[in-house]
Amino acid sequence: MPFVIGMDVGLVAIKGVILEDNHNIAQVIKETGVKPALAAKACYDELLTKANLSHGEIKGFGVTGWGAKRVSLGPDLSGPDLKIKSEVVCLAKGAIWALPTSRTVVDIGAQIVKVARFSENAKVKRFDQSDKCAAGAGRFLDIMSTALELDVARLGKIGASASKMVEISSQCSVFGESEIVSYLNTGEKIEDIANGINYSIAKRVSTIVMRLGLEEDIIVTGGVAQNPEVIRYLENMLGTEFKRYNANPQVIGAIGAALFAQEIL
Amino acid sequence: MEPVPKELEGIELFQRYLTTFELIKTALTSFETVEDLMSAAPEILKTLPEYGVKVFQSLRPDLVVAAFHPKNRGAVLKCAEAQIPFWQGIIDDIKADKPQLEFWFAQGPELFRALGFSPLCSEVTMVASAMYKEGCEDAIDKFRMKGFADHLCTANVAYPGYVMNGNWKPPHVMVKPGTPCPSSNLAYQAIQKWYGNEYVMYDSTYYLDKDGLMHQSDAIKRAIPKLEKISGQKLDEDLFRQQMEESNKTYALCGELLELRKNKPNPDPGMHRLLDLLMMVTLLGKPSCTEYFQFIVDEAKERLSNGGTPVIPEGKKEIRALHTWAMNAYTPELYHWLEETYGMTYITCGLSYFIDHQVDTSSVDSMIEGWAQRIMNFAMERQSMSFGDVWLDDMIYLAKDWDADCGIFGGNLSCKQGWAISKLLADRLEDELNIPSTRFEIELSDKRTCPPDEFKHRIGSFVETILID
Repeated sequence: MPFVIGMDVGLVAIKGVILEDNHNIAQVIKETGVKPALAAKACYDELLTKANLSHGEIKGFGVTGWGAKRVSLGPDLSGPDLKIKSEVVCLAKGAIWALPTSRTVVDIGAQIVKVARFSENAKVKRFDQSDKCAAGAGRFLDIMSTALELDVARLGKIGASASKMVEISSQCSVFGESEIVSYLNTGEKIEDIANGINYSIAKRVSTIVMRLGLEEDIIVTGGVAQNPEVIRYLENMLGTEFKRYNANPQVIGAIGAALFAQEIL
Repeated sequence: MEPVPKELEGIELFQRYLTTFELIKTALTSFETVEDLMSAAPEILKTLPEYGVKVFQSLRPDLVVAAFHPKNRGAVLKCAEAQIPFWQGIIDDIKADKPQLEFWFAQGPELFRALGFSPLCSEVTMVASAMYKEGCEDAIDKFRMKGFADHLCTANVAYPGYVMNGNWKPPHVMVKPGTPCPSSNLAYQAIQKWYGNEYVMYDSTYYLDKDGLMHQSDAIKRAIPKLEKISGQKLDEDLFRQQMEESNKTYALCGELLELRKNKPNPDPGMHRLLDLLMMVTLLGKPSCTEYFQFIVDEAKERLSNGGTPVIPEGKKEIRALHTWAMNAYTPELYHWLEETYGMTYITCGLSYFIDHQVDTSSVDSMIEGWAQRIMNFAMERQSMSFGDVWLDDMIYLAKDWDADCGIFGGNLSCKQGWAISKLLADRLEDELNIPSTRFEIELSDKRTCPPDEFKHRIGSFVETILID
């Protein structure tokens, strides 16, 4: 089976994978920065290095995400044509790859929350997404953890040790940050504030999910899927249990893009 | 906002529209392609007065390119030819101090003309501002700066902004039914308070039945004496009849056009929908409105007989989209882009769904009833009927009988009516017809909510889910 690359060029992070015979043999996650084309090229090169492959061995290249149209391999490299696909179809494709019984994917990315329901052959039946505000998406957690002077990756763990929940009432990231600073000044514990942040984001995501309607099995993708407290709250709010799978939740869209590239070889 | 020159005080916006339509007419009758126009532009600019140059330079290039496309240019030209005398008439009437009446868009202008007014739809900025790079956002902000919330509908609040800045002379009277549209209610009340003009609001109905119709037409009848007093003229029955007979012809053509869109591929370009709305709110009841619709009906028929430029490129599979609420009124050429890029055609939307109701013109009462019925059938009014089921049934009927492939709910962010039914509608489309749908936030006249590139991205993402088999 030939090697194919899939890349998901998000607003904050670029995610790349190499598939060989449907197996993910290498993955890279990098910051997108202000020049997505350069970041994509660096991601591509890093993938080749990790998999110990040369450019000539790559037979397909699928790209998705906000910055997909900005990606090129540059004038010095001729190679497989870029196949650009929308994030939603790639997420559905990737979700089926990660868990063949999945029928709903909830993607909590940095700026946008996307929810899609799809058939067994990954045909999207319906999807919805958050609108212009990043509240409820990963960026919200980044801003809040910065205000708490915490690594965002620890927000879930710290929140789990809370003795109570501090209510984050604002749905706006900027106002939410102000609320947190106020709570810190009034002596609230960091773990209680973290607990409130995790709950707040789950609440926001749950409304989008319910608007679309659930269909089992459900998987969660995107960076926020790695926050166990958000996931726990979301499961409680939706009255369901998300299915776990053996892949990094951040690269599911990139895998979907790679699968599309593979299909048209 | 830019200050208005003294000589254009109170009419600047109308002069801008007039100049624009004159430029469009000249461009479409003088040049075959947009490239020809652009290469001649430096010479053209030398011949234009300073104001004309400014208007020319403010036109949005993407819209001009779409207007020149063979499938669009005929309708655009026909629309421009009709709009030129309309705007000249508005300017002349204001200068002559003829009683000026501004009305909310679900009403037709026919009754107001018969009452001796020079009627103008307040929401006309919603469609006309689409022609300019700057849109009408400055006027929207001007109104907001007075302390109004930024979630008021931008289709309504550009109007008071233009009035405040002097681009638009406050009218003698504003008229609207009491439809649950808080944005227009607030905007009109503000104008009345600031400028002291009259404001006639008559009751609306919430049921689309015989009793509802009686309620609506009685409310209109009670408003007529107030309007007669303001204009100083009694209702001219003959003029009313003449207008209603003409609008009957227009509505019949709207019905025919909608039927023609059942064909596959849809023979009627999506960019026409904004032109249709502009024609209806400005010229309904006038022969030029009928002639415009006759033109696009004929053009659609010609396409069906393989005689015209196709709506979607040859070889592209058609995707038939039902826009279940509003259009994006700030960049109508995006519907041209959807046709060219994805083969996605436009069945109809809430703002271009003109239900053919033929009015009985035998008496004043029957004409008022017919005029009332059309209000009840129009966007915003029809969505408010009953528990939303009227609109839901309409959309299901359209989706089914026009064989829609998908529903697109471009929800006007500020519109409660629309958002209240968005999920019910999506559920019914899926459950009853197995049709996928999407929804996203736009503002009718404010591109800052969903900029054109974001709009493309969102609809494009959705279309790709349909294209995958």
